[in-house]
Amino acid sequence: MSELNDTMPEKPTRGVLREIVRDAVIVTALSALVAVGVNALREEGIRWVQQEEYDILVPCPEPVGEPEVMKGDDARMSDGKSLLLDVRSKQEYDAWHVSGARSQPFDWLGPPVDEEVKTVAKQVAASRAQRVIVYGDGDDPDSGKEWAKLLSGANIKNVFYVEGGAPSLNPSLPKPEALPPLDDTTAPPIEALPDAQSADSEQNEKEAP
Amino acid sequence: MNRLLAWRGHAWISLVVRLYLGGVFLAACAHKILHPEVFAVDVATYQFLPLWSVNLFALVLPWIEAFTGVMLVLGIRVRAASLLIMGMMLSFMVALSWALVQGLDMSCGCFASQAAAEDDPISWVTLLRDAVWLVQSIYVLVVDRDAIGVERWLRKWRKRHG
Repeated sequence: MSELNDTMPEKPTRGVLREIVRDAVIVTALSALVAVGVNALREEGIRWVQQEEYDILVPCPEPVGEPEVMKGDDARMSDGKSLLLDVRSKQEYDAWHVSGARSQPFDWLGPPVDEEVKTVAKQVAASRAQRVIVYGDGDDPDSGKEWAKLLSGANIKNVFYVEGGAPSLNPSLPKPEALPPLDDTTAPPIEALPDAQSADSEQNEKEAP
Repeated sequence: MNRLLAWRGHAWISLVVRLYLGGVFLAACAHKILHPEVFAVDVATYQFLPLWSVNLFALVLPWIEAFTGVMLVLGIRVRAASLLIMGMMLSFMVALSWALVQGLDMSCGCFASQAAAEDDPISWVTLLRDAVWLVQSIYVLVVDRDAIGVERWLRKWRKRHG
């Protein structure tokens, strides 16, 4: 303790605080000076004041939830307490749909469906349905499952999607054309590629002047 | 209260805290000083500061981190250094909370660039980590009235040699 008293002169608190703040300001000013100097010396120094907006790409998390899966022959499909959504294309809906289902086409390549989701979420909230059942094309990925996830993300509870989509509800519908499995033996062998490339290069050499 | 603050052990606990905090800040400033253009993008990504101040902040902040880191490690004006760290931590926490509330999926930019978003994504854990560093800086600011280090040794040396 005596060592502390020897080395540390007594000062009024206000004086100590003022000294701390003063030192902090000096360090900040010194840092700014060094930053100016170093940035000026750097070949790839940056401008002090940015004029153009930075190109920033921050993916915001999609508001998706976890809907529950339902089999095509589930009795809840037709108990009158469910709101059914058919998210296939309008043509597919017109060709066949489950009785009472609403058409809500989902286009993978179309514009964002945020507004549609909000609208449907409001309709669902306004209806007296106890649950929402979505069915899509049954493809991989399934449009019905994707829509159900979006609805769940919009704070709609009891959202289900039909496993297998419309084809599981109506077996006469054509099965979706999913991507071939990775171990597909119909794909050309890799060994064939160099030959094909060399054939191409030979062709190019012939065509070159 | 004064007796508690005057406890001699604080200087040694504070020394450990200072070395840790100083190391953290020296590690944090290195990438930012070497690549200010990358750090400026990180700052802009928070979408918190106005555009005109982004580069200014990106250029000066790493040097403040560097100076305060050195000051804490060497024991020079440690209370001023910890005051600055306290201010930085508070501003980082405000910016982090803002980004988390906005739901931005991004890197904290604390030790590496945005490119390392998968390695160091912002989360409430990041906020907690900053809060721990804030508490540590407050501890040093409040209790370390006679920090062990260069400044104290110089003062003793001067006293002995006239």
